[in-house]
Amino acid sequence: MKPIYLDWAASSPMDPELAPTMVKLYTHSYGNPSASHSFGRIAQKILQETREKCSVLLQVNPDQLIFTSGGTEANTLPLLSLLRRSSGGEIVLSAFEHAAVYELGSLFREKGFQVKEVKPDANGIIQSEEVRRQLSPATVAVAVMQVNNEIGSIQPIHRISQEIRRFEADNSTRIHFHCDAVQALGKIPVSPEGSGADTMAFSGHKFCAPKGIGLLYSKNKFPPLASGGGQEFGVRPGTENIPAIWAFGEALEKRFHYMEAEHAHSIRLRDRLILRIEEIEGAEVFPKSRTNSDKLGNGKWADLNYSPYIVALNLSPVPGEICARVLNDRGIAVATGSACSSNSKKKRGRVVYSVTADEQITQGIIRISFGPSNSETDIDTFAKTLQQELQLLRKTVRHSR
Amino acid sequence: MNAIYLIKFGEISLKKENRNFYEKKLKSNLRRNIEARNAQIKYTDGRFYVETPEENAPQIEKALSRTFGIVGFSRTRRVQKDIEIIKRTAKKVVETLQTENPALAGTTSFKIEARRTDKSFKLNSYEIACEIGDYLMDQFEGLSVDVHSPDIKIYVEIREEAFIYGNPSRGPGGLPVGTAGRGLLMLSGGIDSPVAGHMMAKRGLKLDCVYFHAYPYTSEDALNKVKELAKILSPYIGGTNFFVVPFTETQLRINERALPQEVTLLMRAGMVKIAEILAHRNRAACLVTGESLSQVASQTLESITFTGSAAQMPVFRPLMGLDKEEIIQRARAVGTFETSILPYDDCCTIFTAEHPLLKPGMERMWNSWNSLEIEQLLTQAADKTERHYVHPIFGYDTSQSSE
Repeated sequence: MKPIYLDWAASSPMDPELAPTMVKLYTHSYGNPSASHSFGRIAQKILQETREKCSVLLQVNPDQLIFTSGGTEANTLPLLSLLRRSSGGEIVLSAFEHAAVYELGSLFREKGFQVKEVKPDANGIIQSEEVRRQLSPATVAVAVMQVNNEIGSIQPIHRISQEIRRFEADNSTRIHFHCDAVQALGKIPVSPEGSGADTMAFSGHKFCAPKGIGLLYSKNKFPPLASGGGQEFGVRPGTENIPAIWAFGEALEKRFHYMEAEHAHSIRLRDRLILRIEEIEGAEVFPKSRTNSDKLGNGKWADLNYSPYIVALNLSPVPGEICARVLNDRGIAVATGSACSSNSKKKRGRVVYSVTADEQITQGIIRISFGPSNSETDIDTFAKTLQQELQLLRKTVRHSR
Repeated sequence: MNAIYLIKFGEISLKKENRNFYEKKLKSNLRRNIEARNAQIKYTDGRFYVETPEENAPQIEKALSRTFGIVGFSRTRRVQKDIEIIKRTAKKVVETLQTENPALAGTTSFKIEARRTDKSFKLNSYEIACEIGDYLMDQFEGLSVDVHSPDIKIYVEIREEAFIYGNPSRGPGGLPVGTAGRGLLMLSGGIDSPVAGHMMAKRGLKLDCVYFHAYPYTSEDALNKVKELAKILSPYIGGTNFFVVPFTETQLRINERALPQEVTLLMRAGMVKIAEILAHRNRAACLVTGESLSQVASQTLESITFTGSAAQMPVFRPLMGLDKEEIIQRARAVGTFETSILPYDDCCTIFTAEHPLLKPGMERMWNSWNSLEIEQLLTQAADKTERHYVHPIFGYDTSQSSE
């Protein structure tokens, strides 16, 4: 049987159409974009054109886009830059941020900042009023992700930024609002300017661009962390990875071009998955309330509270980790928790636990995430296999209770 | 230039009638631990020397510090029998000691221990000591003579050449591995069992390691972690066989038929029984576990009475009287701690009851055991066990994997 890949939120396969041009760029257009000779000019041109292209797609100014080495760097740069701008104060983070953002909290604490967390509601959504409750005149930054990487919930980023701006006006303060949109770009509409965020982070390999390339939207420039050759408006110095940057632009353009079709496809897969899961004893969609919400949404993306590309399943009391292992042996790749942290017990499960506060459910989660090349047959095969394996595992668990 | 080490034995030199046996074993253990690193063992005047090219010295020192039976070793300088050269070499030895151990710098006392087996050398032992002593006093400020308890001891031996060395580095002590026979260590991914293995190896046991793998309930990561622990232990025990027992069927049978509060104890008994089968097959005569009295429910006096009664051969539990903190200290010293605390569980939470038995009765437990009707599964598990050899220097052989 051909292996079935259902872990696109961890990483997507690179679009094979990108490869030939990338190879050509690596081997022929190798000039340093900062150099003034013809080799450098060619590289510079590709860089400029890609930045232009991305700026049009994202409806921002080209000089507001900074290429980075990936999502982690795009998340880290603006937040760590606070250490140069502020000497202390309060930072507000959602409790289920990706580790790239969440783990910065301990560094900020070390440096004398106070870090406050905003818990999601029972539906796994960060409500703007909850963010508002954590703001104080000492607040210097807020970070809330757009699409949660483990459960797929979409945060009301626009409403959150409105709350923040209102608070700023009332208290004559300035708060940096950062949004990790890594799981959103190329999948659901993303509007850096409309969101009201100061900075927004994106990653290429989540939407079929290669790994090692990310993008940071920054409304205004900020002091960099590294010094160097002044590339990327000085915010992210270092010689640009031209082939990967080019591929990022291409992949993004493709996703925007096909977004409605791919989104509709993903909704079909999701609906099928939810339908199949309802037939399986011992499996349910997490959070449970999601099924109502998604049906209400009826496929219109403006109404959706969850990304149709990510579905978390609760298999408790069967540990999700064991189920994922068994599925892998049957040729199906799914994730437990966040793939980036699945080898660390302490950090694992933080996201789901922040929603349920239930240890057993937290342990019982697997994450299904799809992409354009998955088919409804993939979903059926997955569901059938899950049903078979879950039946055996549930027997084992039942005996031990 | 070659680095030469004088090796000191402790306890084995006391065992007079068996001395030859112990020395031979130590020599062959040492050879296995160092020879692949281009080092030679030499035996002169009742002493072991190890000689190796200078660039191998750090690795050889590491190997020496892990070969049980060695109580100490000294980096020895071999020079011409010329008193001027000997003096300058003694100075170098003092300098090296002071760089390696800053506590010996500044104001320090010293003593020269001179010995002359080559009587044709023109100075006698006393004169050699005086000459070098005077010279060193001139060369180092703050150096004073103390013949009773000196901080620094410089040994000078005039034989076929002159040998000069200082205070020995501490070796691991104990008895040469293999002199006490062969045992099978029940190795898990925890902190305790590698330490238990280290302690028993120190008393001369040659050890193989056995791990019980309940895939998919325990992960490949957990297996690899234990595999890594066996690799860390391997230089101490002169190489080892790492046995991986497929334990899932046994585990499931116990889980299916036993009361939840009895599962852990029956599982432990099953492991002991399989380990004993494997021990017999591999000529091991005892089992070693990392149990420590009352650390967990399965390690109370009553629990151990039951699980231990599953074996006919002796079960050694060297950690019995140690606190967790003491065990952790030892694990750090052995070098297994950082691996042991990696998060991969070696027992799935679904098999661990919330309230396991603390004081199991023997009759009750053996009745439960009999109702499992599990003997055949145990033999099967032993039959399907995989063996991986771990070389003390090269680790796992990736070309050869199972038996």
